[in-house]
Amino acid sequence: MTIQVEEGVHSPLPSGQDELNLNELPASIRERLRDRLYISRLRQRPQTPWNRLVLAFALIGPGVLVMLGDNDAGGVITYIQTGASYGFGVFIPLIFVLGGIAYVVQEMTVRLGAVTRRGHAELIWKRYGPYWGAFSLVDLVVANFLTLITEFIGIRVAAEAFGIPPALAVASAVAFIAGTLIFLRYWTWERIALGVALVNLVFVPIAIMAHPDWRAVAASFVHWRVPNFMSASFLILVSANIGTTIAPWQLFFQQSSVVDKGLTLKDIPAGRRDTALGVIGMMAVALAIIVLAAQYIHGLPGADNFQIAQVLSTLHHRLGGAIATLFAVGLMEAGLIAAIVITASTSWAVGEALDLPRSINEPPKQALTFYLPGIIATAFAGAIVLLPHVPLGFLNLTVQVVATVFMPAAMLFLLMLLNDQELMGTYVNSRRRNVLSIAIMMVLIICNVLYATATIFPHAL
Amino acid sequence: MNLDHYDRKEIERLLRDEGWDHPPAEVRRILPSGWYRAAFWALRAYIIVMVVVVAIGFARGAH
Repeated sequence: MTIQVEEGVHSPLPSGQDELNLNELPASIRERLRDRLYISRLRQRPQTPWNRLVLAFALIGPGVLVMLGDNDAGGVITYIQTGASYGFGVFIPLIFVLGGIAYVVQEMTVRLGAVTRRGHAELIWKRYGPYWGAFSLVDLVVANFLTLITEFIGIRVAAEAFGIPPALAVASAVAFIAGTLIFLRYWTWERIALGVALVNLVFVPIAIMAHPDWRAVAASFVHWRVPNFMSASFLILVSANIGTTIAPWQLFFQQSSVVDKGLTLKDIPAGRRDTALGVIGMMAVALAIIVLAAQYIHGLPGADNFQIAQVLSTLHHRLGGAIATLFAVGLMEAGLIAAIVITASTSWAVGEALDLPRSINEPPKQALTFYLPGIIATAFAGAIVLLPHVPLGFLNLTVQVVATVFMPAAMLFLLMLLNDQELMGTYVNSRRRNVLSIAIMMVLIICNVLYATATIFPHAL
Repeated sequence: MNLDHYDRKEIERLLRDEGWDHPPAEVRRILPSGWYRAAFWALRAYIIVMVVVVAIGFARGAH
């Protein structure tokens, strides 16, 4: 078998050989081939419901991880602040809109990754040059670092609810994240991350067990009242909700994950289903938290400025210890799953942009330059959280708003790449998809401009 | 990771069918022109303005 190769250490196959020696292939390729063989064999089995389910489960991964990772500790806090400040109205219908937006955006990363077999950072760097490549990378790494701080704050606060010392909780989380990333290969890492992500759904039974006023929930769709539409606090919360639903790291993460998993053109429909499933999970969790906060925290004195410890205390007081405990578990998981995927996102992006190794299938000895950036950032973020008096609410909103500010830039690159005939061939965006994507970008920009006006001229609106 | 346990023909077929036997398409740098160029300049301006706005917003205690 003759193999075409590309110069460089990251070629998919070794150069200069006509006869294929499977065990001389790079370790990362051998791992990927094994995973792809598994998928291929599943596809060849008789199409029974069970076999189809097993195949569907095998192809689940990047989409579910990115969307449940999106319900991170910062997201949980944003949803609580949202429900606590505005009750059932306004934001519950908005979550459905945001879910649709998230799907439209993330689906594009599936196509981009499957068609080009390159990560987002690599494509921006190579296609638009080092200036925009470095801009995107720095933007991503800084945003990821800030976001990681909020994840560890969530982990710390949740751990304190169980009487676990903060240093132990944070150190254990860092060790788990680093250990799984370094010592596991992509498939196992993804399965474990999915297992952690599943716990994210704990907020749904919590909301059901809390017996919220479902009539009020339903009424929020009929009577869509927006109090103080032009107030800075409302616009910041809108920005924060958008920022927590679609953030730049998600574009980078899902595309890199699709590439590292080895998804191909024929996997694009499965990638879309994976993303849709993740979006449904994301929306269910977001709605559950907003409903819970709207029912039990909204209207309390100072509710819109509640710290997470006060939220746990309120839930304990009003709904009992079991629900407060489950909520703390969910918060800890939210921080952990987001930290897992954001750490990988940082490593992938640095590897792709700087032409370093860029696969979780790489053995650690040969790819320390790939693993270290993500892990160092994560360890630093964890260390910062152990410092006293970290302003959680302020930091959380800052992260979300900064992400929202940079999101149009990330969307612009995404749109340009998705309309690049040379890269995408027949998989370029359709006209309808472009109209939708440009509309989303315009919504983001308008939201930011309104927010800007509200902050600079708070009395003018 | 030893692939000797797998059927060599099956692996070769997979390599061929899924395109793992050749590198991903080359990505060459393009210099934006026309609308793309305008979009990049608009993006630069947008980012600078928004970063300043966010800084002012938080400095004034909008949070």
